[in-house]
Formats: sequence, C-alpha cells, structure tokens
Amino acid sequence: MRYPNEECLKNKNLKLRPDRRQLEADVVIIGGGITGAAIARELSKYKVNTILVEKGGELCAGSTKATLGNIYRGLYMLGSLILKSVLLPPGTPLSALYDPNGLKMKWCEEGFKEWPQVLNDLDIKHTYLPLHFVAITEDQVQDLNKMRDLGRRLGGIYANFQEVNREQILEREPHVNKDVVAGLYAEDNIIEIFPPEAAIALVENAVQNGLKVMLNAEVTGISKNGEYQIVQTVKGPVKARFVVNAAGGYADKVARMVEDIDWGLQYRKTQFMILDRRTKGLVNGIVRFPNKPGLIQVVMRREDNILIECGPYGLTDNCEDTETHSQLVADALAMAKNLVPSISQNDIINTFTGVRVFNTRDIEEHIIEFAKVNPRFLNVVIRLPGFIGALPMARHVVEMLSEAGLKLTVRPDFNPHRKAIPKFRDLSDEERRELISKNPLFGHVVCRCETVTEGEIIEAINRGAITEEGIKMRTRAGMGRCKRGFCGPRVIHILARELNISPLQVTKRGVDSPFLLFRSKGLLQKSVGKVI
Amino acid sequence: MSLKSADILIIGGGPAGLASAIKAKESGVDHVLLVERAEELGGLLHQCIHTGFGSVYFKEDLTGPEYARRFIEKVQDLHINVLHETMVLGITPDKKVTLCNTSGLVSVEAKAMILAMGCREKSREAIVIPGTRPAGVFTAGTAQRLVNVEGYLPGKEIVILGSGDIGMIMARRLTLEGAEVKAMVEILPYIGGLIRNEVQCIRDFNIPVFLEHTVTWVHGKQRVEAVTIAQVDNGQKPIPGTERIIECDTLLVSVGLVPENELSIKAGVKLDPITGGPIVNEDLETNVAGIFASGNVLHVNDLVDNVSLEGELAGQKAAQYVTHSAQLSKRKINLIAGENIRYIVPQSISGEKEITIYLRTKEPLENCTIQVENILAKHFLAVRPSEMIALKISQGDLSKIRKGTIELLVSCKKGG
Repeated sequence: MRYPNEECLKNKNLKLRPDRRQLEADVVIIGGGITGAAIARELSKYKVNTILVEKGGELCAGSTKATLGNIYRGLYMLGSLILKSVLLPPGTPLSALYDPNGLKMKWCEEGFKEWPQVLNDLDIKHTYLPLHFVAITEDQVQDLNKMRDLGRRLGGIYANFQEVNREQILEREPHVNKDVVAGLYAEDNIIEIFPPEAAIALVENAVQNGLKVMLNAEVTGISKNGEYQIVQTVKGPVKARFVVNAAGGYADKVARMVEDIDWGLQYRKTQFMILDRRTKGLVNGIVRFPNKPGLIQVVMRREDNILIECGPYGLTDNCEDTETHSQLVADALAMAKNLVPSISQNDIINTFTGVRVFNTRDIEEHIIEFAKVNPRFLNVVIRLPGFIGALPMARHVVEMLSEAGLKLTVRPDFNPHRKAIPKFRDLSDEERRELISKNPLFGHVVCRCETVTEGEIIEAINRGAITEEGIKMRTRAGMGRCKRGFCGPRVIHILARELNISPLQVTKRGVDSPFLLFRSKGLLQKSVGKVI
Repeated sequence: MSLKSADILIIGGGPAGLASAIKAKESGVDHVLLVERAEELGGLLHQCIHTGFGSVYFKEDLTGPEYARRFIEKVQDLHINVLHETMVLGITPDKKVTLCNTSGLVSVEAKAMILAMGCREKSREAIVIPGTRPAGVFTAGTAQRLVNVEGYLPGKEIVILGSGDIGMIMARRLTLEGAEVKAMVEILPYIGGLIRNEVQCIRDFNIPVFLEHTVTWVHGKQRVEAVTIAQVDNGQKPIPGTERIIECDTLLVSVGLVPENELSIKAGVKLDPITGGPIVNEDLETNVAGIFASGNVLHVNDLVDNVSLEGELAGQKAAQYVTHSAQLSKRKINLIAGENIRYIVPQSISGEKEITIYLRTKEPLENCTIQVENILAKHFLAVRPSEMIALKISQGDLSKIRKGTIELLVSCKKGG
C-alpha cells in the first residue's frame, strides 16, 4: 500500500491546496556552489534567518563539481601566478601578478591557514599531497627557473621549496617520465579534498544551525519593495531583507535583474579525466609541468584514482558549455602520458569539462560590492581559486552585510561540528563490523566499484540528496569504473523508495533529467481496445 | 573476527558459479560455499527473458530464467551452502577471503577457489563519446535490467551504439515494447554479435543498421535529445562531412564486455591482456595454485551453455585439487595466437589428454583452415570474431606433438 492513499482522500472529500504562504528570510543566498555554501555556513553562526536557493537539482551544480579544488599555497600558487600572466598582457610587472593586499591573494593566504580547522570540524576527508613541478624540455627548464626566481623574490612561503634533480624526482615519483631533467618540490603545499564533499559539508552544517535550502529553484526576477526585496523563483517568491548573489556563472544574469552592470562574465574551460583505481600508486601526489601560457597540465592522486587536468584554457561564451571534445581528451591523454608514460587510454573511466568564471572588469580579482541602486543586494563574483579563500571571503561578506544593517547576534547554540557519512570503503574491518551491527544496511554493498553501501546511500538521502548526482557527490556511488552499470538501477530504486516517489520521477540532476520515461508496456497501452 | 573455512569457495552465482558448485559437490567435496552479491542466484540470466539458452547443454530452447532455474534447483537439492547479497571485499593469494553482508563481516579460509565473477559492460565514459552528459545514456545490459526486471522503459526513441548481442536483443525487446529503434550504429564493417541474433533481432524487425559508423556527439543538456553519427575511415576515425543527426531520447551503448578481475588481481592472479581474464592451463587453474576460473571472468563467451561447461570443468578440477583424487597437469605447452587468431583459452595445455580449446579470430574469413601447428587442421566455411570456435584436440593429434615442445602456434589461413 502506498500512502497517501488517493481513494481514501477522495472518500473524505479532503481537498488539499498548495501552501502559498510567503517564505521570508533575513538573507537569501542565490547559488549553492562553494561561495554560497561558505557564506551560508558563516551566517549560520548568527541568529540570522537564511535561505539558500539553487537553480540545479542538487548543490554544486556548476563549477564546484568540476574542479581540482585543491587548497594550496606556496609553490603551487607560484604556478598559478605565472598562469595568471597568460590572462594579462606580456611583460606585466610582478606587482600585477602578486598583490598581497588584493582580496584574492589575501584570502588565499588566510584561507590555507583556516581550512584545516574547518576540515576537522566538519569531518571532511583531506590529505596533504607532495608536489612536483617537472621539466623535460629546455623550454620547461626555463619556465621552472622563472618560477624559482619569482618564488625567491616573493620570499616566505613562496620560497619554501626545493630544487630537485632527476634522481630525486624519480625516487619520490618512480613512474614519472624518465626523461625529466629538473624539478621543484614542495612537501606540504596542497590539501586535497573532494570539492563537492567540502561544499556540501558546509551546507549540511549550516542546515544543522538553521539554514533552509531550496533546490530546483531558479531565480527569475528580483524586485524591491520598501525595506524588502522579493526574490522570484520558479518555486515561488521569497521575501528577503538582504540578497547575496553567489550565482557563479550566472552572477551577471542575476545582477542584471537588479540594475545595469559595468561588468560581464567570461568563461574558460579545461578538460578533466579520471583513471581507474588500478592506476593507484602511479603518482603519490601531484606531478605537473610548469604552466604554459594558457595551458594547465596536472596529474594527481585523488582518493585511489588518478585525476588529470589539461586545459588549453579556451574561451567559451556559455557557462554551461561542459561538452567534451575528442581532441581535448586526446590532448589531455598525450600530456598525461608525457608526464607518466604508463598511463593508457584503457585506464580512462570518465572525462568531463570544467568551466571557470572570470569577470571582465578585472580578470585578476573578485567583485564583492553592493548594487548601486540597492544597498542590500550584494554581488559576490569569485574568480578562481574559489575554494582556498572561501572562508575569509565568507567572513568578509558577512561583515559587509552587517555594516549594511544586518543584525548579527551570535547563535548561542551554534554547533561547529558535522559528522561525515561513514565511508565504508575507508574503514577498518573492525569499524565495518561495528557499523553493520548498528545498522545492517551498511553491510549491503550497492556500488561495487567504489564499495558504497545502502546505509550510506540512505544517509545521503536523509541529508538532502534528491538526485542520482546528489548521491554520487555525497557517497561516490556511481563514480567508479562501471559508471552506474550495476548500481544505477539500484540507486534509482532506493531514491524512489526513500523519497516515496515513482522511479519515473527520479532524475540525474534535477527536474529535466529523468532516467526512465515510461513503464514497461506503457507505450503499448494506446492499442488497448483497438481491433488488431 | 569470526573465521570460517570452506573446501571450495566460489565467487559469483551466475551460470559459471552455479555449474562449478554443482560439479564440485557432485565430485565428492563436502563443504562448497557459493557467494553471490545479488539477491538471488542466476546472475544476468534473470534479465535475459528471451529464448536461445540451453540448445547445447539441454538440447532445448529455454529462456534465461528457465535455464538458471534448472541449475539453482540442483544447487538446492545438493544442499550447497549459498550466501546471497554478500560482497567479497578482500582476497589473498593464500585463499583467505573477506565477505560482507547485512549480518556482518566474515573471513573464510578456502582450500580451493573458483573465480566466477563474470563480466561488465564498457561504458559510454570508457569509450569517450564526446558531447554533453545528459540522462538517457545507458549500457544495453543496464537497460535490459530496467525493462525486464524493474519494469521501466528508458525512452521511446532509441539509438544503439554497437552491435553486440545484448544490443541486438534490446533492439528487438524495445521494438516489442512499442519504442522506436531508430538506428543501430556499428564502427566495424560487420555486425558484432551472433548471426542468430542478427537474423532474429535486426533483420526480422527491420532495424536500420549503419555499419562503419559511430556516434560522434551526444546532444541535450539534461536529457538526450539527439546524437550525431558519422561514417568512419579504415582507422575508425570519423570522416568529416559525413555527420548526420538522429533525434532520439535514449542512447544505448553495446560496445563490449570486460571480464571483472579486480578481485583476481588482489589474489595475485596473472591476466591475459587480450582476453582480460586469468591465464589458465587446461584444468582452468590460474598461476596461483588452487585458484581456478570459469565463464565470462575468464573470457567473454557467446553462449551460456559453454559457460556452464567451463564451470563444470573448473568445479571438477577444483574438487580434484582438494581431494588429491587425480594428478593435475604438470607439463605445459603454451598455445600461441598466430595469423588471424585473437586469443586461445586455455593459454596452455599439457599435451597429455584430449582437450577442447576455444578461440576467436581477429577478422571474419570465408573458406579457411584453422591449424594447430602440424598436429591438427580443420576447415571452416566461414569464421567471424563474434562466433567462438571450439577445437577438439584428440589423443591422435596429441601423439604428433614432438617431445620437448614448449609451444604450439595456432593460425587461421585462407583456403582448405
């Protein structure tokens, strides 16, 4: 029997009408990526009624789910600084590459120091990875030298690396191309995380402390009404005193709902590849070539997989242009093989494209400012790296809101801790047995490639996952080599059962992406009653 | 941790594992333990509701579930221990296995083991079809489960990439369900699956087939809206200018199967890079003593009947290993794949007893001869890679092997 029982409702003549009471909030955050997530968590420390609205069917629907998302500093940042020069004219002085007082650099340096505490508080899996920049060609040696010189001029954490020779590189990374001639090495520059896990953890903790989240709630308009603003969404209006525009690739579109703006957005895309778990151990940390103008080349360990990013960093005019092209995949594979020759095409289990957002006013900086016509509408337009500086950024944003009149009273019962969903695959046998004895569903493996149990999937749904991608980002189910071939139908089944919906309503990532379109025999019903 | 032991532990309760378990038990081994990760035994046979099973083994035409039922009943009759919904988490070369299910974790020590994990389908992601990443792309086998077991259709306008057997069967199935299969697209110049399926599923149902074509783009942001197909050149590269768009809501991928050997690797079992399965001798024993393999984990078979026969052989040999009732083969002659031969299973024979070897050719060929060096030659009217060839080597043939031979070249040449 499925409840509510429609027949009974009819008999009772019980008429149900939609609840049209208006949602109301002190702050509405538009966008459920890392930027919105970090602001939401910061606000949840105070007695502020906050609603986060997200266009997608899950959080992390945009850039946040397709990025390396490493939290880094020092040598790795040097690589990025040199990379930035591609986007600036040749001969740009160092001061334009590295402005320690600019928001971007300031937040990155602070963020690297702050994240470890939050990663621990929120039980987010993280690993420190060793880093090698390596050179094979004379050209690359020159680039390494430039990086080295830049680092020494900046000093401090930027000079905290070692020059290493071929033997030293091969000792730490034995599978790297034997033709390497030189490298730069740093020990503790990088904290590796799974970006969606971190963003979702921030939101989960904010929800524990009072945040409300609306998914599938694309914003269609914003209007001002005296003290209040009305954020129109496809799920209905929300009345808000303050609005934070953290819409990522759509921040320009949202900003234009309020006023004409003197900036726009541009997008650049890079190619990602994930390799099979059997490649575990091919690299122990991150191995990369020095950035070439407009080219990122990284091979890194991510959990037990190898993750590759290779980008011509090409311009695209559409922030949803995440299409994968054969040529880009072929280029990425060739690059990866040049770094680690034993990587082969047969190792690829997934390819995807990430889109990075830059504003056209100052390609090197963020835009954090109130709308000119509306002092309670705050644009937060973050360029990369968005993860590293997210925590200081969120503090800065909350301060700005406070200065603009948002009353901040510390939430006395703020709980800074959040427990992760148990990761069955990472547990010892002892821990596994304990988990199963508490809840037997943790003994039922659903995703065999990544060893994800039914208990984990149900826990993900209890924490807000409503789509297959939501399950995937929270548990890794479906991320393995068979790409949902085995667990796909089972995950659809569990989602339908737990959410009390039909499997026909289960989607990949929101309303327009159902997996199943008809019941079996559903297409034959038209012929019922016809004389054949 | 609770420790259990088994004489023979079989991983996988599909057709190979079922036959292995039955044979092992019938050969006089007491404690046979069959471990299956799904809710019930039978493996993928449950979703294969079409007929075509059993013509060799039972001399009858059965559906998949009917075929499975016969073995499952025998397993029950023989009181073989079965663990359902149980996952093998770990395995060691000395045959210690960690099992996990809703009752907890168990460590089992086995005297012998049979690998019968079967195979999985290659995904869209693994073959890197460019374009967007919408819902509506499925492997053919996953779609088969959704339609036949779960009771749902992925869509009503279907394009199928690849002409493997599951793809062809699903073309027929979806047509019968009222969906329109708009095209089957195959990169090779010939159909990839069995002739029988080509006739019964493709020709009989007027499915449009595009040979030497591939899917070059998936369209649709959230749900599949169309695919672009293009003709390919000799190097299987799309030919610019030949692209055509087919509107559809679903793309099924049927581009090959990969033996599931992640556990085998953990056990120290060496794999054949061509078959993707363990390298075995004529007893189907791997390089690790006492670990045997059978069915699609060893090499992808066309017919379940053959999988059952292989399973029985592995079961029998594992039983002999445990009971020391017969000498397992020691002498080793490697079979080498020569001209137009893709692979041979087993990879080696003893040369001492009559044996049937299984092989596939690289290319289709008409009027040809398959030769095992100078000991055996057999004429074929036609061979094709999708049809596995069984070749019996008799005592008479074996007597022609010269003493000291360590390898035999197998080849397939034009002419008789």
